[in-house]
Amino acid sequence: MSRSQTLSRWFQQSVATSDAASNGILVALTFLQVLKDIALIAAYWGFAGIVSQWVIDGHSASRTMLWLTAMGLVVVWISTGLAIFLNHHKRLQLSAVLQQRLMATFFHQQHALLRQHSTFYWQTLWQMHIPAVVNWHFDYRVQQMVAVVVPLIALVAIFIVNLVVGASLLITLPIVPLFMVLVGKGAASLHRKHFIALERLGRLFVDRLSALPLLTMFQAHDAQQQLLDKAGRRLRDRTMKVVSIAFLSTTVLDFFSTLAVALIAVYIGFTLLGEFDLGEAINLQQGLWLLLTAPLLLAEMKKLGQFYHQKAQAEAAKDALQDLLSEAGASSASQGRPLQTLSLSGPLTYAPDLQTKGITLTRGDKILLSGPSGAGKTVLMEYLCGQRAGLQNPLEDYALLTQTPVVLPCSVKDNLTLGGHYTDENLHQVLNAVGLADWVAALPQDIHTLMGEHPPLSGGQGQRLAIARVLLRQPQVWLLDEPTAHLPAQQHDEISALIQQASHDATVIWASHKPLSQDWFTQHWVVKDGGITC
Amino acid sequence: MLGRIPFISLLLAIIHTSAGLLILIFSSWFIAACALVPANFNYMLPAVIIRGLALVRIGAGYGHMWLAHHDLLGRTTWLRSELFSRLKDKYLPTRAGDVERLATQTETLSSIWVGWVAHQASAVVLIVLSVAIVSSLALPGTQVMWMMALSWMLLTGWLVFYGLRIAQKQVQQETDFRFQSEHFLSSSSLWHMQLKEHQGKFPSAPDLRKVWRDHQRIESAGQWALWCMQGLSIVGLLMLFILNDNQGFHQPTSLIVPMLLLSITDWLGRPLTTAAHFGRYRKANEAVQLNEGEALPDVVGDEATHHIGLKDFQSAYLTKGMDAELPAKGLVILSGPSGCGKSSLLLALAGMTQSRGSLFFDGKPVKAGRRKNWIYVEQSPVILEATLKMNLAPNNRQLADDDAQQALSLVGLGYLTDLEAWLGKGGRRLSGGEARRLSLARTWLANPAVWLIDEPFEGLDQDNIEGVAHSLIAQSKTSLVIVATHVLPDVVHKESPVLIKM
Repeated sequence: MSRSQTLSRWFQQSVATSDAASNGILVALTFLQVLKDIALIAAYWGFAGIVSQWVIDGHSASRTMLWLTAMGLVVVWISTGLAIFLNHHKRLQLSAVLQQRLMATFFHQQHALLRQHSTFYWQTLWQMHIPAVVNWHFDYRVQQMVAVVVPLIALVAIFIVNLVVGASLLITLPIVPLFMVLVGKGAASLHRKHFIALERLGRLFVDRLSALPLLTMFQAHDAQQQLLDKAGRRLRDRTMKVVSIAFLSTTVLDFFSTLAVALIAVYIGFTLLGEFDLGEAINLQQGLWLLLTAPLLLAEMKKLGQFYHQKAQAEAAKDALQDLLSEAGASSASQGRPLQTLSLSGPLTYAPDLQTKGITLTRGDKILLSGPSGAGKTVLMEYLCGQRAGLQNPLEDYALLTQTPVVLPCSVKDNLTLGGHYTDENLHQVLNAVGLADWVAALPQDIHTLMGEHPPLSGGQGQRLAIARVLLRQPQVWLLDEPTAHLPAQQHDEISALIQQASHDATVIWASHKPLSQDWFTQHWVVKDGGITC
Repeated sequence: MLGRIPFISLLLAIIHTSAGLLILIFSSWFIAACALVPANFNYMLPAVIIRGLALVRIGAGYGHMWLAHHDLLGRTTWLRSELFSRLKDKYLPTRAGDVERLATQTETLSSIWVGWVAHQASAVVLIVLSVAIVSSLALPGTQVMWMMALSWMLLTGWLVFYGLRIAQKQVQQETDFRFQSEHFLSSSSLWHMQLKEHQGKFPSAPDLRKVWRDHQRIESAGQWALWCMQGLSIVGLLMLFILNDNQGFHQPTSLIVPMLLLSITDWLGRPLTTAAHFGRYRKANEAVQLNEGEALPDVVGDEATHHIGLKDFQSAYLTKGMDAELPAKGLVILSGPSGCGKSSLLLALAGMTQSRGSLFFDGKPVKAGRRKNWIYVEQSPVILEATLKMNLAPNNRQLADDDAQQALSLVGLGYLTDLEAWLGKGGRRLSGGEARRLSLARTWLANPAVWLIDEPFEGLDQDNIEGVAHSLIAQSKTSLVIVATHVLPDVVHKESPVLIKM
């Protein structure tokens, strides 16, 4: 996916598929906004009529004008209400759909995806980036269309009523697209600069806050505080210089809309007085109506400027989300087909590239996977089990053991069963097999003891618990991704022996840097320079 | 909570919005007056006033934007500085991302003036002005204006209250989400097993829909409130027209109230739609103000000259302490499998965590706590986002280049020659081994009496292990070096250090 792809195109191609965000809603919302402004223009006419009849003619308002005003305003009111309702309702719907999409992506790519970034990254993606896309879709995109349509309608109406005002506004109309660019570019650069400034300042602050113990130990707190203050002040001075110019774009829009009202008011007033005569008679109704309607030319565009931050946020979200929200295509097709043999050759994965001249995995194989770190051992395992797309029939019924065992804060029992149904006897059996029987017996509530935030387990014990988890399930395939990497030599030997014993009947693929007894393995695969050889 | 008030910027914001409304009202009055042509109507002055107002509005708008921005950046720095100074000699027991959140919250808090106060203040001024003018001129529709003012007050009050209530709920929901999602996301390597047990569904997937719904509620509350206000003004306007149907107005000033009612969404729109955001600022304020951190043990003065005794000593978080006798100078190796409490013992000795048990210097019982000349070197040390020089001397003291270079060569980092080089994001990124060696150089420069080093050999190749071991051995001639490690390099072993098995 290229970076230059525009936001809307990205949204249409990878998010708005199969009715996730139908264009109908967008059109309906735009229609309601435009309808509101048309009704407003009509109501202004009625309003101006009533006022002029009362002030000038001195007789009561005609029924038609009253009705026109009433109807216009009621339509304005109802369409505004409908737009609010529709907008909020659909917004929540889209958020829910996108959350579902994210879960589906998680479902397919699992650890292969999650391990690439920190928990905090994923939380931000979920909590901030999804709403950013939704907000942009429902506010910015609608407003973008409204800001084009409404000025045109207003201009046509003004032309019908008064040629001179219409013509003078038309002359300035080519400036309108220019405004769009100005507002867009100005706001964009403003936001970029503002964001960068705040982000830099924030990062320094976060960095020093995370280093509090270090600063205490080296008596550096005061020095660093001075530094933070100085950095803040310097950054402000520098940012303000740049931003002063960026503000002008907003001011220019304000300038034109304010001045338009002022000048139209003066022109109409003087024409009514007879001071000006540009060949077109004007009455109070027309004058007042023009005064009310002229600001509509720029009002919607000013509103677009207010939504501009949403675009910047959505851009950031796009870069982070990429195709995580697209409908997950590949579903793990093969259901419960036991592994017999699996032969692979040719290119396997892209980015990182892996290919092979030919490797064959047969049921019951014990495969030692070696190669320098970063060569793609983990990627190969992810490919084989389908967490990375590409393989037609990925391995079913596998269990993965990683470097760092996960211990959930729930009880030991739940840590083993993960919500499945196993008897306590079963659990004790596997705990015994991995040598954790004594440890469990020493816990206050046996297997029902909660593990909490800081589980009372050493690294080796954690790995044993993880092995017990696998042992309980008796999977056909064990994928071992350096399960002993962080353990001292003695523990490595014990745990390796334990795994070899426990996985005796299964197919095993074992990536390891540390020495393992070679004769236990039936094959030795080497991953190096993007190639797998056996 | 708020610090000094940005009076000028607030004033400009009020002038900006008031001038906008005034232009519209004044212009419509002017047109009506021109149409009536009363005798001696001086039309030049109002025309000048209209143009003047336009210029005032534009100028005030730009000024407000500039000053508010200036204030925002300054205020953020100030708030952070205040928070940072409160956290001196403390630590933050945090989860992933908490510190980042603190940074965002200070930013949110400092935007309260431009995002909330300015809007509400403008609304108050506009409401008071319009009601006062309309009442004093006894214009038709005065009662309607009073009604509108009252409704605005009630709606704003309700919005603030509602915003606060929802924000309170949101804090809880977001905390729950963070807790749940952290466990959910960090257990991704178990998902394949969990999914199998639950027929392809995540059993405990966190859900943000509630958080989003409440967020949406706050936004929509403001918009619905404005919608109600608009509805009321439409009713008021039509009533005004219908009730005055027989007599008419005759005065150009009489169109002021209808104009105010007609344009109500323009001048009360922003204040009403943002009123409920107050809860957001309160929430940020609570997070920033309440974050006191946890205090580290006090600084203690006394030093040992002969030997240091430990009796049932450990970090307060562990249940079992240990007994040991250490020399005041020399090399001590703490060995044992990972998870046996080596790091917490070092932290307790360094006074970087509360401790249990007792400590004896030369046989005399002393208080445990931080000691100026004791330095703890973490296993994965903190590298500041700063220059290399700043990293070597975080307290910004004068550091001779030669000393710095010597310290670097001592740990095998002699190839880092540019002391002004930036480390961290946007600069040079150090590997884990380099970072560990840099932290040793940093400690060497601080010249402590006691070194407490956590796993210095982890992740280093054989050459570097020997290099580091040699420099630690050399150091142990003049100071006490306590090393927690699960590997014992031969060079160290030959020195026959004091070995403590845990």
